[in-house]
Amino acid sequence: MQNSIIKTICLLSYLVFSSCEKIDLRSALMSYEKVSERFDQSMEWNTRQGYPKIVTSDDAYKIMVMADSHIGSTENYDLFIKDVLQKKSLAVVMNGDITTGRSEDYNTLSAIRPDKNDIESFLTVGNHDLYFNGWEEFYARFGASVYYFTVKSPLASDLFICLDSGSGTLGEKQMQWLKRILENKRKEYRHCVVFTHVNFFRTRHTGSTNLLVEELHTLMHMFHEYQVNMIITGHDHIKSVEVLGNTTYLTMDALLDGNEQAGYLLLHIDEKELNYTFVNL
Amino acid sequence: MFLSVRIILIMLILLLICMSKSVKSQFQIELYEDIGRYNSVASPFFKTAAMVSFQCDEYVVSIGNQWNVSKKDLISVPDLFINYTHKFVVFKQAIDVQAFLLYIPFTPPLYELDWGVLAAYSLQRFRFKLGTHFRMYRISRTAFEENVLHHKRNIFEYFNMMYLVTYYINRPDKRWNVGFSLTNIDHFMINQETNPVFNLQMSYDIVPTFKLFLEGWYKSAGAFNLSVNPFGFFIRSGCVCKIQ
Repeated sequence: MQNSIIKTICLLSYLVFSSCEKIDLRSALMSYEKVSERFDQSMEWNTRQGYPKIVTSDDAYKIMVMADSHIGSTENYDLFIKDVLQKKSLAVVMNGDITTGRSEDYNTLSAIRPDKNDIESFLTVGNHDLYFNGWEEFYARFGASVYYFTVKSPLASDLFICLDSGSGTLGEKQMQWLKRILENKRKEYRHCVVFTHVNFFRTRHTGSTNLLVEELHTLMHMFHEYQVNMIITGHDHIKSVEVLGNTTYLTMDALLDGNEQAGYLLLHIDEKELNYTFVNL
Repeated sequence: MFLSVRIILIMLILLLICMSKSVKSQFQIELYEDIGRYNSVASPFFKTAAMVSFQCDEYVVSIGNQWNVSKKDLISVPDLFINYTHKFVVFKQAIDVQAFLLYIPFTPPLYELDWGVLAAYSLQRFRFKLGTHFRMYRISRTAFEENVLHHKRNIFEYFNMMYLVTYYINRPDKRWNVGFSLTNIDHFMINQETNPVFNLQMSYDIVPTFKLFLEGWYKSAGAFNLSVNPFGFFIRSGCVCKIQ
């Protein structure tokens, strides 16, 4: 009986670890770098470059958000960027799993990322972006994975925070940084939106990992206490909306090529409200 | 509400003790202390737990409390779990079926409520548990009304899988044992099925009715994302006392 159990465990382990070439099994034991190391590098970048500030003369503006494009192929990404330019979005946020983590895919993304003169784009990392030592490629090309940016309109200013959850945890340092930002800055801004790759709640069964429950407790408390309006995530590839008090937790459809429900999120910010629309391609 | 539930249950247990002279019954008290460190909470953290079980023939009722003494905003209401176990024999194999309720007030305005069922099966050197539960995150009514929140009070997660596989070096009749577990459940915490936790445990029976134990728990994040980072660990030490 016990031999059968051991054999079954070995067989299951073999099946799990003999997956396709899109994933990097080395990271199943330990990721290339810890989230705290990426955080330190991000803070160095932020010290050098500063936090982006966008000023607009319009009272109402749009920000378009996508996740899980998994470049490689760029069919849906190209459609998304076309929409971004057509709809005159003020900025675009790429919320993790933008690439497969391979060097050649980062080359592709660098080549087709919108020009800064046309539109500001803000990137966060997802777990796939970190495969094959992808963080080195990400950091060299795009810089920080933890930062905030602000948008100042004639009526008010809004705060947008980008977090690195590519490793399934924010880590102690990033958590403390987030708390400091919310404590010191939240009151100065009208709306506060947080972008991060990994979705918070398991509204359906998948093999993808969420943040651990202990970490969710801390984050939910923080978002409630500082009245964060919206948390925008990807990772699960299927959209969902959860509301707890005054905080809305959104998960977006993947922009992945071949996904029948491929889509992105359109944020509308005006003098009264912060609204969203899921757009399918 | 939960305080009154506890009082009723304690009274029920006491009543069962008084009525149980003619049946095989057993009382068990378990006490333990956790000291550890996580990425996401003020470190180190200290948690103290006490659990009482009463077994009457094939029925077991357990109730436990856990106090997180390191929290800044110390919550007057501790974590609470209530567990009912029925022991079955199926094809000469002993199987425990448990129904439970877990209440975790993680901050004053927010709490988590879990409920579900779990089946446990033991071999000489293995122990297995498999089950499912529902999770609800909720804002307390007071906080909801005080803040004039117009939105929803709950987030639900349905049918999360719970599992535990333990391998023991010794058979249960030995005085000491060492075991290794892979699981996503603990007495006062149920993680998502994709966040496994590793546990190394040692126990020693000083006398047949009194046992000391020491456990090391390690949690990693991102296992099923294939981007694994350490999340935290804790050491648990405690004792179990049985009263026949």
